[in-house]
Amino acid sequence: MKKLLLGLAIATLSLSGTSASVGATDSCTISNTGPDSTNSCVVKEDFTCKVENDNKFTVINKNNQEATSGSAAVSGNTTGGSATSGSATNSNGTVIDVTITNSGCVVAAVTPPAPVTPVGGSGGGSGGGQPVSGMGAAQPRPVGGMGAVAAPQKAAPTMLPDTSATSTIGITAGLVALLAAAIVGSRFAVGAYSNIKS
Amino acid sequence: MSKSTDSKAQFYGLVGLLNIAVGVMFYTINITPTPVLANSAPHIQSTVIKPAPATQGLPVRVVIPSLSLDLPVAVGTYNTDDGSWTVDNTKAYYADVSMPINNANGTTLIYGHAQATIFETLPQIQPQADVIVYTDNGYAFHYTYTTVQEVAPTDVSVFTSNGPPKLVLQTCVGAYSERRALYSFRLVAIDAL
Repeated sequence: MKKLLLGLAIATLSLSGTSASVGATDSCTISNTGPDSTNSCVVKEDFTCKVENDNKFTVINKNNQEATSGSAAVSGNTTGGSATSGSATNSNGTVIDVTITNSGCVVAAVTPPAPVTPVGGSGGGSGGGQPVSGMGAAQPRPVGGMGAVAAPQKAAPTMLPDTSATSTIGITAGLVALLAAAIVGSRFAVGAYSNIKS
Repeated sequence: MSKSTDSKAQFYGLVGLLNIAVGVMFYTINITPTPVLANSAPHIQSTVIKPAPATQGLPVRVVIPSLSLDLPVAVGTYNTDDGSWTVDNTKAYYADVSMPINNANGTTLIYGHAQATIFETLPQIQPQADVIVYTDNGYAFHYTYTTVQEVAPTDVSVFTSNGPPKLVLQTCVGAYSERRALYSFRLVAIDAL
């Protein structure tokens, strides 16, 4: 007698519409409001983060089992007699763990592990019997990932910040150099004028 | 009915009863074993766990122990009219168009002048150097230095990179501060203060 166990497990895990908000940092200040002036300040922050994870896994578990009973016969007994049947049993168990990791906006593809080899049963004895069918189990265990953080919705800059050194010592030194150059230049000019005049 | 006929009827009745008794006896002896059938249906369990929310915050302080740097961080904004950014000589700034400090994705840009009190010593940083950024909501994000890249002031791709969580510190380099040096740091740990 043959028993065929085919376990097909399909699970679809969907995560959608997960949103995250980021603390707004915009602010505005209204000042110098004169008579009859109209002032308005509008700050709008929109943050959207959508995470969709669609994971599918398939596990196929096949167990072939066979248990054949022995034969029993009674014959030629004068006072009768009896033949009692034995029993033939099979058993097996299969546990398959599937782990799916959902991370951010990226679907992490996880290959399900190969089905575990079933534990074979044993049959025999005399008389009729039937094998016990096998049992398959699939236990998906999704592991939570992490939601994505949305970028602030601001005007796209066209320049990186200008972080050049602006030390006061440098500026002062530059001004002093310019002043010195002006003094030297004026003295040359005065000297040249005096020579021409004389 | 004659007497012999009655005797025959009694005899066949007894034989019939005997046959029934023998049949019951053999039936009792030859019991077919009852097969034991286990549960053959595959057992499926599934659980859906939603992604955990990311930890994030706005940077308020940056510390680089190996350079003895400990600076406050303010929010720096971009002026679309003249293309300038908020910057001064007293602190570092977080570019508010970049990602907030977080452990999920994207690049956070903190910038500061290349002068002694701010980021002048950044070029001296060594590989694997630690940087700690404290956030306004009580977290300390620990980063480690990975690479430096010099780019033109017009290269704003740092604002659109959306890979693993990363910190970039920016200051100016070059004889005339004409280029921007971007120091990249990889997130390694978070502490809740």
